[in-house]
Amino acid sequence: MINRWQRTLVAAVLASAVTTATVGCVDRSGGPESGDVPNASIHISAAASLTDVFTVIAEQFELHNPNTRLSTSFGSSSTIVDQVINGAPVTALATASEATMNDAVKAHVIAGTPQVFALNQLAIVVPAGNPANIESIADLGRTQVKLAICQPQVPCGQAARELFTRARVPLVPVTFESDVRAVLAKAASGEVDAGIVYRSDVIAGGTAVASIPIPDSINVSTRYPIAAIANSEGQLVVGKFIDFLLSPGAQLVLADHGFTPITAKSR
Amino acid sequence: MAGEHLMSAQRNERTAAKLATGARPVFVKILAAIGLLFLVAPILGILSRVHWLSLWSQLADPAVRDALILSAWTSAATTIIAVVVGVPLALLLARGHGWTAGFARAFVVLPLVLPPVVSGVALLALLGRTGLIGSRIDTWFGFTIPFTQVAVVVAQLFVALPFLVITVEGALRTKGRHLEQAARTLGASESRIMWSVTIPAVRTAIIAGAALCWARALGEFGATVTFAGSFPGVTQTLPIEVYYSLVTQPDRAIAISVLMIAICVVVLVSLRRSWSGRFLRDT
Amino acid sequence: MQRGSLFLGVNFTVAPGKPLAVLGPNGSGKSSLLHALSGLVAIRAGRIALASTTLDAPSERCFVPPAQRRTSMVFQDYRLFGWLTVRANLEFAVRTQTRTTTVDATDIAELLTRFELDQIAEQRASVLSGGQSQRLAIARALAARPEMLLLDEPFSALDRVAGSSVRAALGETISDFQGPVVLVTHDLADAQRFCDQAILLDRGRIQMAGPVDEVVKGIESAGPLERDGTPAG
Repeated sequence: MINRWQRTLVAAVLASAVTTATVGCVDRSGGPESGDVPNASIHISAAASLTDVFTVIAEQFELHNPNTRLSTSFGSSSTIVDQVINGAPVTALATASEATMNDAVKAHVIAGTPQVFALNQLAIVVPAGNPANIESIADLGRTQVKLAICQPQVPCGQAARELFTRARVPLVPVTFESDVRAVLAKAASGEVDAGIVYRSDVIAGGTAVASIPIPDSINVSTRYPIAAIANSEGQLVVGKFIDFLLSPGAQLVLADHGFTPITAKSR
Repeated sequence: MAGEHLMSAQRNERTAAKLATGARPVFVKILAAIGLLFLVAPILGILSRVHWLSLWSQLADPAVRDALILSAWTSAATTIIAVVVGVPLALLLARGHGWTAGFARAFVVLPLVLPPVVSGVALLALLGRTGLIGSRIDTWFGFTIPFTQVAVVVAQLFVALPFLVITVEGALRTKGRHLEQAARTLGASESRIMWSVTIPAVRTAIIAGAALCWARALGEFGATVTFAGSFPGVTQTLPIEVYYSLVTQPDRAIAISVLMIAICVVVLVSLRRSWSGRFLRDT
Repeated sequence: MQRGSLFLGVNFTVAPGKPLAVLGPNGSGKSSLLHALSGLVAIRAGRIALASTTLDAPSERCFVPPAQRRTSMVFQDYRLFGWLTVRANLEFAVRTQTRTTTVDATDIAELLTRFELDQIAEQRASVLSGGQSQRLAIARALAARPEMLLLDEPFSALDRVAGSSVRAALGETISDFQGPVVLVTHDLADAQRFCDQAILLDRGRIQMAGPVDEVVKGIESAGPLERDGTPAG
């Protein structure tokens, strides 16, 4: 009696497992692909520095396109590219450097060509009140100054290195953080005297931080490309989103958040 | 004919032995197999990704070597401090019955359930440059703890100490009592009892607790990266090195992962052989 | 000992040379009585005294801690220090009593011989057999030079062969012992063999007291014999 019951239970468990697996394998991208995009949802994986501005732009896009749902996730550019290459279910990718986007292109996960939608420049972020009295990038070379920058494997870290080379200032950080937001956090909490982040991150830091200007002549710019992921559903919506991103309204939002809007001829 | 007879006799013996001890029901075996597979498969997954030929050159990289040395000595220091501070704490907790002991025990268990990042945030709030005590240390002595090797040990100690305390306290509550009573009737003073009876009686638990503590310290990531930061040779431990390498040098990340798995396996296996037998005998 | 357990009207004297057997069912308080005598548990009312020395008297706010009472206890589960050798276990007891770091080797040698432990003197206590372990426990109790000897069911954990060797060793020890001896046991034969006087405890009260033979006869005649030496029902 008991054995039979156990066997039935096992069979039921296996059956449900198989059923679930079958359901999971069904391709769901067979919806109507017309000009209207009824009830479509896309997921954008974006660089950490786009955290605040993309959230705002995504909300605006949803207002203009009531039937769409935009979800976003953020991380360092190299990490999110890696995730997409490993099969993360993402519809669009926006990175903080063309180099990282090229990695995705080389891995054949990108549909079409990436489009640059904004530029960003580096900035020196300091805790509110500038307790260490940083006045220029030259001050960051002093040994008593605690400096945080991104780890060298991510675009922000490479850009910081390039910046210090151009400025001819020795680069001696006390810590390499995993992404710009972590650098920002260390500056905002006062744990470090200064950090190298993007201008947009300084805006995101609000009143907890201040910034020290870097002369344009030595500053490093990074270009932000966005692209659709190959073989993902919702490509039409992604196309609409990219158009929206390049429209004057969104570009203004980007400027408000510290990014440099892309001009028509750089597209 | 004779061969056949022998085989069936063997089969009967084995089945008889199995029947005698009792076999678990089939669905138990299936669930157990799923659980075991879940734990074993990812390790096999890592091993399948290893480029064995370049493994040594990956590990010989100076950055990896620095991380290894740093992880080795910080986890060792953490373990030693944990034993020095944790065994007395366990001794007190084992004797305590009132609500103060319960209170204290709750705090000891807390780091076990806190997300490591939260532990890091807590340490910053206390010992960071703007922290409760850290700001005073900065004003009076002119140095701060974050971004130093000391910070790495502090972070590891906070998350790993509870492992040792809980392990030792458990043993003290069971084994320690009876032998202490015997020693007391023989006339030993309390201090003599503690050094010559209580602590030797739970030495296997102290070793096991130290091993758990060391393993946890070695693998510590969230609290370290939040509180101590990450700088090669100073605060960039092996787990941080793995995480940062994942991005652009996945082969190196795999190589270090294999190294850490190997270290842990060696330690666990050597512990099992030396102490499991004695642990049972000395009760 | 459970909190709140109570001895009511337990009143007895043990004279040197007249060992006392404490009989009674499980839970009657036999072990608790020994724990109180040794000082591992403090009494709440009454008085324990060894000759002219008061050991425990709540009304006089007097309590002598177990380590300072000259009483040794032999436990049912031996409680040897397993990581030490046989010799080291004895040295532990001698050292605590003499409070010196040097140990008189002759005392140890004599105990080793008397309890037939000399062949295994250098073995770790954790590998000893049951009989060897209990003999060592008794030797260790004596090594502390006690003035009172307490034995808590010393034979219960031993098989017949081990038990007979330990009984033989104990018999000599008890008859030679200078001070009072209290033996807790559930075996009536052991009570008669080793002891002069006996008390029967039941739920913390003395049901019977007197010469051991009388008490045993009283137990046996009171009803069907139960294995733990108590009257049924």
